[in-house]
Amino acid sequence: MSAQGEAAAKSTLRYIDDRLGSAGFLRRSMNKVFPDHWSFLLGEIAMYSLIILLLTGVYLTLFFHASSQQVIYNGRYAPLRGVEMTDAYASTLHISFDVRGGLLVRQIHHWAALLFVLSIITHACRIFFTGAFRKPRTLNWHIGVGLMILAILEGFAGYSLPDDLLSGTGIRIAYSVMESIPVVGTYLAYFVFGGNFPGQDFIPRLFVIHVLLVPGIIIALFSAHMMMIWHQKHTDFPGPGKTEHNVVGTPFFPTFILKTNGFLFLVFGVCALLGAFAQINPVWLYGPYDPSQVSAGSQPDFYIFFLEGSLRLMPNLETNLWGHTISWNILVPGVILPGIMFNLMAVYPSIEAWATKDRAYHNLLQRPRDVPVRTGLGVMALTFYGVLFIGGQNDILAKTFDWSLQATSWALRVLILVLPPLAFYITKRLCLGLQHHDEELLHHGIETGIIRRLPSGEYIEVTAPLPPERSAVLAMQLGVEHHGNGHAPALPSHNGHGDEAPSHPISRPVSPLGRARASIESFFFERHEPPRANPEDDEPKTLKTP
Amino acid sequence: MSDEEKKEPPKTAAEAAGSTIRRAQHPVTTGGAPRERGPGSASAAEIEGEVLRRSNMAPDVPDGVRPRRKVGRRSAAVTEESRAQSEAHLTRPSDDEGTHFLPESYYGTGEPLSEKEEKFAELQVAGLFTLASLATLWVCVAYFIIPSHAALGRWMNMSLGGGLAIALLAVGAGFVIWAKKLLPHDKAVQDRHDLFSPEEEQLLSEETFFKGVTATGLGSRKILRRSLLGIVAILPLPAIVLLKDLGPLPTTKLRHSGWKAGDRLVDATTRQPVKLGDLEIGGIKTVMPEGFTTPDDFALAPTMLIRFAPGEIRSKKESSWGKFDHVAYSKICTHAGCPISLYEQQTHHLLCPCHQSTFDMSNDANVIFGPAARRLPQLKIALDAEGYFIATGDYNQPVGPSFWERG
Amino acid sequence: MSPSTFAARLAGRRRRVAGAAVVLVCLGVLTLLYGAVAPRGSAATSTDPNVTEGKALYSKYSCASCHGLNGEGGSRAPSLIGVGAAAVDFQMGTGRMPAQYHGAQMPRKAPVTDEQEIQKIAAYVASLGAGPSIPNVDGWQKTDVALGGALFRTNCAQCHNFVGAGGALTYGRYAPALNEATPTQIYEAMITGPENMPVFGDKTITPAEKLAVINYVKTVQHEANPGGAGLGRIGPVSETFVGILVGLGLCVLFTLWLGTRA
Repeated sequence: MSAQGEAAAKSTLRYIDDRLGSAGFLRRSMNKVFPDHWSFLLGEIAMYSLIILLLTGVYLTLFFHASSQQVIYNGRYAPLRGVEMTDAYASTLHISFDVRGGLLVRQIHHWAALLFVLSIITHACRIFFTGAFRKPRTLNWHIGVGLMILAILEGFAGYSLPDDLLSGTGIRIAYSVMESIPVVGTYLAYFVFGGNFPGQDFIPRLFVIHVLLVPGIIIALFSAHMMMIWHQKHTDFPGPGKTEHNVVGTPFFPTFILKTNGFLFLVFGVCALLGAFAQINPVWLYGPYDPSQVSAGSQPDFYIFFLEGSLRLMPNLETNLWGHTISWNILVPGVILPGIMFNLMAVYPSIEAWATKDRAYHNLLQRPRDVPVRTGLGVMALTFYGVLFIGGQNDILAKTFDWSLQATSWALRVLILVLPPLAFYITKRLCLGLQHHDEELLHHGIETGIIRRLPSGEYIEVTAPLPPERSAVLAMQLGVEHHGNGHAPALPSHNGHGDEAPSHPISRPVSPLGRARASIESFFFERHEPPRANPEDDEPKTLKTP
Repeated sequence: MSDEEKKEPPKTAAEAAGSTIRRAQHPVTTGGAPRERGPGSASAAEIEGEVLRRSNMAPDVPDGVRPRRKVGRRSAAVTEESRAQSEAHLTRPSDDEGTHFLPESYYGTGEPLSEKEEKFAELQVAGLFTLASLATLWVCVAYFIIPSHAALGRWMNMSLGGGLAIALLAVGAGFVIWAKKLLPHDKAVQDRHDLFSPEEEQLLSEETFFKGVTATGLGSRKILRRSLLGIVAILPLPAIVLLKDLGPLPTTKLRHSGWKAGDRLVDATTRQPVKLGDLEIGGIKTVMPEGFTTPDDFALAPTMLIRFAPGEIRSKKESSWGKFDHVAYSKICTHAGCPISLYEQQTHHLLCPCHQSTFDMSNDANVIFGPAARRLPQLKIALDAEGYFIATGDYNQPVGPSFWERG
Repeated sequence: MSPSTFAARLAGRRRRVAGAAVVLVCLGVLTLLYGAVAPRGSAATSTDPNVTEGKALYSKYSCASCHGLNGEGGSRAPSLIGVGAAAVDFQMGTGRMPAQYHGAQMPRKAPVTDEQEIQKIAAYVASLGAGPSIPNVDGWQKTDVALGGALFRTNCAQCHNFVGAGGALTYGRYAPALNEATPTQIYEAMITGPENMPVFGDKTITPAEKLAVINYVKTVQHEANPGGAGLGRIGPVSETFVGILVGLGLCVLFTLWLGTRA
């Protein structure tokens, strides 16, 4: 840094420290070590999507009119000119056609919303399958489940604001779900909507919920989420030199912050790319909401597909007793099922801790294969969700693939009962199989691909022992006792070129496909090659000891 | 400085260990087994045996011929700049979490970047930042010069969005390449302290809390405690009560659809009344009560008027409530309230697009598939003196989805 | 032989010949009378060559195998009496007829013949009974597209989707996409109610309103997608797939680039 720049920076830091005593905090923060496995960045996709949503959302609030007042459209889009519609819808058309860049911001906002929920789900799967939710991070898991539910509600509120035909149909269904709740349903629906459906109050109330209340809660919970990670430090996969009591990775300043900053721009760039070239939520094609109109192939956004699917697949059960009706056909899929699903998800860490009697602290992650039951349960839950997800699109699938609509529904009704247990069983067997393979590696070593013919005429395959660090880590992951290198057959000679000790006894791919695969892999993944046998030899000559 | 300061015990493990290089040679972790260095130790990537030499060439190819460029590989001190960068890392002061760095050579992270590669990387990053600047300027210019209404705004959207996307992706890629190629690759190590506080602190904290509770007198003063519980339980009530005017009470509103006796059936879009003979056999029309106004009051009113061929209606009640093979049924699905009107004139099925409830309209809207549990309510119709269809009254049951008080 | 015997024999011969002659003359007169007063077959077949040729084409394309020799219909196909020329023009013009197989619904395919032959068959079927004639859709571009949109959303979108991209019906039936339909075919479909489509007669939706609907369908079909690629215009389903593949996919690729492997 130049002398002037350094002086300026110094005086700024002193200024802040004089008032806040921040020097220690800043130093600790700059030194903070973050492990850098790629799957730890999935949550960051969600974080950056949130920032993009906030920025583009503020822009949209400057132009949107959250009002259900009926107006006659007189704008640029000809097929709707002279049509009566709500001011909310008309202002959305105004943003899309009359405000330069308005459509772009609308689309970036909607694509970022999809990316937000997608990345939350992916991130939650990573946390689940690697066991990062165990003590001391269970509380953070609860906050995360809360964030997921809020993100889904926020998305529903967001795409319902323009009051178009597609989202209005969704609101009608939401009203009916509220109505179906026993005893308090009609009161609840009337209070939320300010009366009969559709009412004049719902869109303005939804606006406040979408723009102020839920984002406020999300930001608060998200801050708590990040503060806990900061304080408890991030988990990491086991590896050479990594223990339950240290963190190995990159320091926050400058490496991590540069990378993560770059990632912010990359995620934003992906959203901008989609917003520029892929049309999303074209409300002018849907038309304004009218309770007497509906379109074929009406779907909500993808994060509600599972609810839509459960509503479609549920059998038509209703109970009428003494002048009162309980609509199981709406209550179960719309209220009870999601309630059970989210609650199970939230309490799972406690269930697992109770079942395994595990009260220890865990900072090292597990591979999915090392916990077959948990992985199986997770895949089972995802399969159940997946069948419902497909169910939400059954009419689009029937039209696209020329299936009978009713046959598709029946097939899914059967699959929802049959597939999840099957998925559990298959996943568990796969995990056990992979573990078995690892045990083979541990005890017999790596297959070198070298076939040796013994003098007796017998052919054997030469195996090389695992490097001791790797075998120690693998033994720990498998939960077996580790006894040195196990059976270690002699190292093979190297292609007959004398007895030079190879730096590693592993064969390299010779086929074009194998080389191509290896080069793609080397582009993406840092390669931790073995350190030299004598570090002094590699000591850079110019580095002087301080 | 005095001798005392020189003899101060080292405050951190790193300080105790001494120079960076010595630490590199004799690594000690604060937990777990000391690191062992063996021949051929490798990371998980090699576990399956697919390890690469630098460029997948046969072992007898001499070193000088092998391509040496690899992303993210460098060792310390190749150029002046990178040497300075690396030294900055390795001489960074440690802290009470034992933060220290292990130099790259310790990890042997592969191929160092040559000076040329390093300069190229710097140019790459600079080039990306420049590209981003140009794209950003393009966005600002395009806003004014692109015709904003050509193709409904498609060109404007793609220009602004494409420029923005290029700018953001280029900046992001620039930062990432900077971090991967031009930053020192030393790994940092830090301690994880136990999260729980020492036993003594926990006990002191508990003691402080309980002593404070005792000081409040809540334990001993019964009347105080009970009256406090009383007010705490009741205090949130006004917040709930104040929300009562969010909306009216449902009362009987859900039982009325908006149809009255004598209302003519009018087309929902054109508001023209429907005369006998307007519909062909197999024809349908969405109708509303004459004079319908806002959707709020008439959201449950949409009705389907269907004309059958003589003899097709199988239900006596259905034909008696219709007129000359015309029948009127509620369009609001009894499942979740979507308007149904996918009518198949040959099979007489009425399909709801939302959740695929299917009703047989020749058999009094009997549910033949799907999650709907009840038939659609039928509107009893008649003809007025001029031959227009009229309703003889409201529906005989609440229209739309079920609710608790429905009956 | 005596003269009286000869005369008697001559008289008998003459009587027999006369009787035969009378019969022949009567037959001839009756034939001529019959020819004068008998109907000349149906008036059409005898005066309109289109109908005659249409009848021949009706046989050529084996319409009778399902629709009966005189269009009376049967267990496999509905009656053609009263469907009108519009129905024939629609069904054969879109290639749905002649049907390839007996299934839930006849798909659109390449027509088996050209416009002129279809017109002739249409004329023949129209002659079987009065029905809608082939409409004239001139001037559809000048109608109110917003009115057409409102009518479309109330009457058509629930089967055909907001922009006419098509939708599923029950048990394998479907409402097809409208992008290949010509304005005339759209009108004909509304007025004839093919297969399970309801019949929208000219008093249900007036001719002017029908032209407005056609205007809306064609305008929206050819309208640009201002937001970029249309993704099929079927709504959130295709948007989800693009979001997962491109959005999440690219971001995950970036995480692989940024991060390390175990």
